[in-house]
Amino acid sequence: MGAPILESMRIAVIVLAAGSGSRFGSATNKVWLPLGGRRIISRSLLNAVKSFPGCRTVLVISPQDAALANQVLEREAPEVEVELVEGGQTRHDSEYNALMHLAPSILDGSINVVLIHDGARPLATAPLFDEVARMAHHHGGALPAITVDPFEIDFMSENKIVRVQTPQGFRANELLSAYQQAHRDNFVGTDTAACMEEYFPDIENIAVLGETQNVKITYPQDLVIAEHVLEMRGYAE
Amino acid sequence: MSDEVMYAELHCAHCDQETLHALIYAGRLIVSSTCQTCQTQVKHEPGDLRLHYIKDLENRFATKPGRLWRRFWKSPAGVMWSTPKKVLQQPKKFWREIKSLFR
Repeated sequence: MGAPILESMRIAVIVLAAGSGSRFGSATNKVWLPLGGRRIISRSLLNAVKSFPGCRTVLVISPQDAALANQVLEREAPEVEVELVEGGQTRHDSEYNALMHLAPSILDGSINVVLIHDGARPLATAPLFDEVARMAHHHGGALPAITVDPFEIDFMSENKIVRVQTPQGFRANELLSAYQQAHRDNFVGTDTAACMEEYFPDIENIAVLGETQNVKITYPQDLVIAEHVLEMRGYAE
Repeated sequence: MSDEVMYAELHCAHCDQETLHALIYAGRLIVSSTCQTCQTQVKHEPGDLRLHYIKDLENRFATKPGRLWRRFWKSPAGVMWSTPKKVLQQPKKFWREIKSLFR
């Protein structure tokens, strides 16, 4: 798993799970679906915190999922102390709410790196979180990416194309400041890195090698693929 | 979580948008997913699913004592109270799971 985590890193992990699921009334948000014996969100959370024992862990949920979240976390992740935060209308708003929840600790220096992870990515491994945290601490920002064959998208293009994943990691002070400024300016980024680039263009966002198995559960077939990956891993993570 | 039908919003490749899907589970495994708008169904290949189910069942049996032990440490009274009822429900539960595999 690489060298031990630098002692100077004080990490908080934010897992986003406030996506829709209510447009169809009885529908469950996909992050609460079972996957190999645990809910998708439990797997995302447990993998996220594995490398950082005792770190601050924030789960951003829809208000209507609060009771379910408490029940699931008690059963499937009792060892993790999870702070629940209410999500917003967009991913950006949810990130803002989570950062405002952590703001006092960021400002007093007890958190200096924040990792933001999509709850619908249950297969990101602990070493990936570890690597993103290290790079973010060292360079200011880090995100996992995998290269895509450009012919898949545009066979005339000669540009290198990458597919960006989560977790994305950033120095906490700059991240908080970027989201506060974005809130004042009504700027909404497509992802965390976009907001950082808008307000801190000089900060390096280092791409670390992503994982091909780090799929985001989007299509029904992603659930079947994820089950196979979990089986290969012995359902361990 | 066994033989449950759950409804969730997923992206349907046929409709090319987020639609409501009905997901059927056998134990911990997904048997099928059906888009409630266009009825497009995604499922494991049946032979593959049964093989997968057997492997999963082995894992469930192997890890059951550990899971039960952890639950017992957390809430001894709760486990003592609920275990007899759960044991009695097991045959029905497995029968439902096996039925799902042959749908």
